[in-house]
Amino acid sequence: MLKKPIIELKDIQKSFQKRADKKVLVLDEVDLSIYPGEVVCLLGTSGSGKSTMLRIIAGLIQPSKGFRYYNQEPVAGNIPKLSMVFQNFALLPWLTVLENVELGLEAFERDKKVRREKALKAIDVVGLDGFESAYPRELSGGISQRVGLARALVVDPEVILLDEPFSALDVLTAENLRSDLINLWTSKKTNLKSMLMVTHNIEEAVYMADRILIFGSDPGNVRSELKIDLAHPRDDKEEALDALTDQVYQTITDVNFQSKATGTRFRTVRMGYRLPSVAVSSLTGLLEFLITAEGAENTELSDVADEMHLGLDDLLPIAEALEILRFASIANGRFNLTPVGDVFAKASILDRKKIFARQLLDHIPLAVYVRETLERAQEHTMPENDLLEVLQEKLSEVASRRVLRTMVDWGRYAELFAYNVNSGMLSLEDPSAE
Amino acid sequence: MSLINYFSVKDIRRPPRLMFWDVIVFIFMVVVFLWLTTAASDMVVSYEIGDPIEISLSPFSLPYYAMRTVLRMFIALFFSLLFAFVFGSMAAKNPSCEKVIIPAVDVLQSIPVIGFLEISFVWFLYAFKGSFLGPEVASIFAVFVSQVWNLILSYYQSLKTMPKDFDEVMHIYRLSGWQRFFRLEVPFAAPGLIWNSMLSLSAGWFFVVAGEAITIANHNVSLPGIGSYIATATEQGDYYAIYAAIGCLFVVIMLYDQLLFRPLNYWLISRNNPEVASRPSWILGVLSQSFIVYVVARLWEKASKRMHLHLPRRFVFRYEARALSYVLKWLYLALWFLFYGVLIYIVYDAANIIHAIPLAEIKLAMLLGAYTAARVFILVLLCCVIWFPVGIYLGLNARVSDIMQPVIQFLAAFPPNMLYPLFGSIIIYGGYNPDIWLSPLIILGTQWYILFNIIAGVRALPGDLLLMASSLNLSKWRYYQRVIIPGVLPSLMTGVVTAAGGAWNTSIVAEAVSWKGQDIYAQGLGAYIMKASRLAQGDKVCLGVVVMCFYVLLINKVVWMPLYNLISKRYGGNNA
Repeated sequence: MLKKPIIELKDIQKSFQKRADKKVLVLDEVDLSIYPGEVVCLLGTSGSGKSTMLRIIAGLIQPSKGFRYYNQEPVAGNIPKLSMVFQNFALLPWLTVLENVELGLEAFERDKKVRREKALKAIDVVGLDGFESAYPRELSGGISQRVGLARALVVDPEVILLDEPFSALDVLTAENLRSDLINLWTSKKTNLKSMLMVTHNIEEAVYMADRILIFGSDPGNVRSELKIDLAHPRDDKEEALDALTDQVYQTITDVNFQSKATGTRFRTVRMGYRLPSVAVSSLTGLLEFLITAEGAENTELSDVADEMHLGLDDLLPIAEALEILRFASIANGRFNLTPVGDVFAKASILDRKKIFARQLLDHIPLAVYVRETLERAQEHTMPENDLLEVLQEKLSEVASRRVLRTMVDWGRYAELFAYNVNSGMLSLEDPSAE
Repeated sequence: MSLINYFSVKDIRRPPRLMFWDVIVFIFMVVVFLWLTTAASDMVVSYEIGDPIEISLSPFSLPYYAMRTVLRMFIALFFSLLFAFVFGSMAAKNPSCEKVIIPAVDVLQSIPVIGFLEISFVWFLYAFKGSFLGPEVASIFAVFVSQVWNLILSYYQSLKTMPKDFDEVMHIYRLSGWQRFFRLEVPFAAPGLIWNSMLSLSAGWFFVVAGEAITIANHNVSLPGIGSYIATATEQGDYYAIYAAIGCLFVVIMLYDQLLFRPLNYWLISRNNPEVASRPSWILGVLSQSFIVYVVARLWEKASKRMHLHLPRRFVFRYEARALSYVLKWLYLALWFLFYGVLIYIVYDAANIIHAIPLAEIKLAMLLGAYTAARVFILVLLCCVIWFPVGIYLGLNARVSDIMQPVIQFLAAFPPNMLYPLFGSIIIYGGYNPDIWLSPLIILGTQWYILFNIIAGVRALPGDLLLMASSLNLSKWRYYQRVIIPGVLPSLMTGVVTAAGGAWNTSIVAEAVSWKGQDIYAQGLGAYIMKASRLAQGDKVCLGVVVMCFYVLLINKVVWMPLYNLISKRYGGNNA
């Protein structure tokens, strides 16, 4: 493609100042170009900073460093021919459908008649005739997002940014809206040149994108890129799409689980490790599924996601937890159940607790630390704030709390220690059990 | 301005022709207009301190007095809203302003403003020398000070809780500051603002009654209004006049509730969430059928659209408007310094005054403060005991509470100090102990917060929980002990904190009551302040107010807030 990029980011960095001495780097060294005539999907786990990046492109957030170009011109702030579709629609509840769409034009078009004409046309394009006088609360999610789309189209944009536009919709509605959007895209009824969509749904990305950018976190940037040269509209059942989906899964696990690259089977966990916020029930549920699945030792992540209706955001943390607890390893987009994992999945409820406790004490230093501190302490108690302080040497306050909560959840299940939420005390024995 | 415009016009369909209702609306408008102009022009007549002001006790002059008082209330409300828009949005949009404004509002709203009434009166009399505007403005200021804080907080909280998406939409589609204000911020904040305006007006009534008739330097200044009417009636011991005033106030409150808040509430709240089934108000029905209203609304719409185009586009802080943002930053900084300057000056002044006061006096004030604290505490407890079963009963019986809700709301809007003279006369003639029998007056007005919150708390209990409880065949006692009472505790606490705060403020008026020239005092800090202010002892007033602030803030920080946090954490449920 010899075309020149319509939007370009160069060496973008974004950091948030948490405290005077502490900066959290959200994005670093982000380079990205969007060319005319393509649909680009940005895939990544939640918290990887992909939404922040979308907002930097939109001019809603200023980057800490780096450059932003529109048609090769550097820009700061708004880009006129750019609009955005929001995850939760962002329709003003006190305005009708028509007024909500007109709102998009209010700053550009002063003639009320022209405004109305254009709004009606946009409503027509997304297939919403008849809904003009309805209020947002009367609308279903699918219709609401169509209004959001109409509002984005009414300004006659060259670029539309879509921030997880289908994730608040049910599966059927999302599919319907997706294919309608692609139809609109291929019909060339508008002056739309490119679309950039943020999503964490791999199938969606494979169905819609001409190019998929895979985003990694800490700090967030584009780690990998995948071109899809299939004509629109695509058939979800096509085998090529299946193969692509698997390929994306593999790339994502490679980006997120770099154990293979470092030559070890498992990643080792240190004290200040950000434990994934995963409930024990999700862990056991996934393990149970893995042993019953065909080819138990070697199940593909995409199959699991498919059959258990898990999004990438749900599946990856569970996979991470399985790995750090040594119940399974993940490589090449596949789960490999370990012997311990196998025994755990087949064990009785009480045995599971014992196995879980052993894995915690063997592989999670934080659990060892809590247990040892409690054993040494008088009365065998310890305030949670002590633990938070230790965690905050490495993590932000919010992250520390999340880790503490996960640790408490796991520790309770394994009966390693008890926790009283009112007093905020960790203890060896559950005092109320006497 | 556009608040009316955006909410109303589309609801008003073109009616077929001039109708019966048009005549009513027309007459109503003319009467209101005439009233307004007379009342307003009477506000600016010339006046020197010491000029006698006759207050007639004839019931026929009551409507005029009511009009004057209502005018004061709404002028104060108007300025309160203006302040809410300015300071609320400053606090919400600029973190350094937030750090100043929010704590300041927090402190200011728990300060007993009634104590400052006399001082501010003198100041305003100087400022508007020779005009009646002086006392008018002073009284409006007193009402304003009682109304403004919760409006600022309400607007600030609305802006803070506004979904970020909305803000981004405004930015992406490049809407100007004005457009953002009228299209997004005001409609979004409107339900909270209207609800708080209702609360504010109730508080305002209390202050307007207390603040219209005041003694300064041995001169009685009584502004024509219901408050002065009551004061005069009290002085002369005229029961009928007091009954007439109470009746008149009932009518006034009912009128503005029916004419203003019912329709507004219906428009705004039921419109955004259809689940809140509020009955359409009759006034809305009348308005929507009137041709005059239709024409006026149309004209208004046209005019305001025009106005939009002529308003400066860049008004509120915009990201790219760098120059403007610098100016604003300096303005903020100036405000900061001003605020701290005033604060330091006040503290310095107060310290100076208090420094000259003998230690014994301070000890006395502290002791009296402890009495009042005990009084507030016991009465709040008593109210909980009384209203807890009633609130639970009403909360569980939707049918009864639907009937009772407007009645209670009405009672809550009624200023309790209208009743003080009656209580006073009973206590004086009966020779009862004022230390005990004046106490209930403290809580008369604020007890409703407790009841409201209990009802709301019961109503908010998940239906599943009630079903579960009945499926377990719990005994009545267990049912209340395990399900209802723990479930209601957090909202009860909210009510208790509000009621206790209000009670302190009320004590200044409630601990000192008079009838027919006879004064009775209860032992307490409120009476101390009142007595000092009647005797024009500025230093003692100052001391009393400072001690009261001290008690209120201390008890808030040491007792109520920790208790509130504990209970909402323990019984609040959602997130531990």
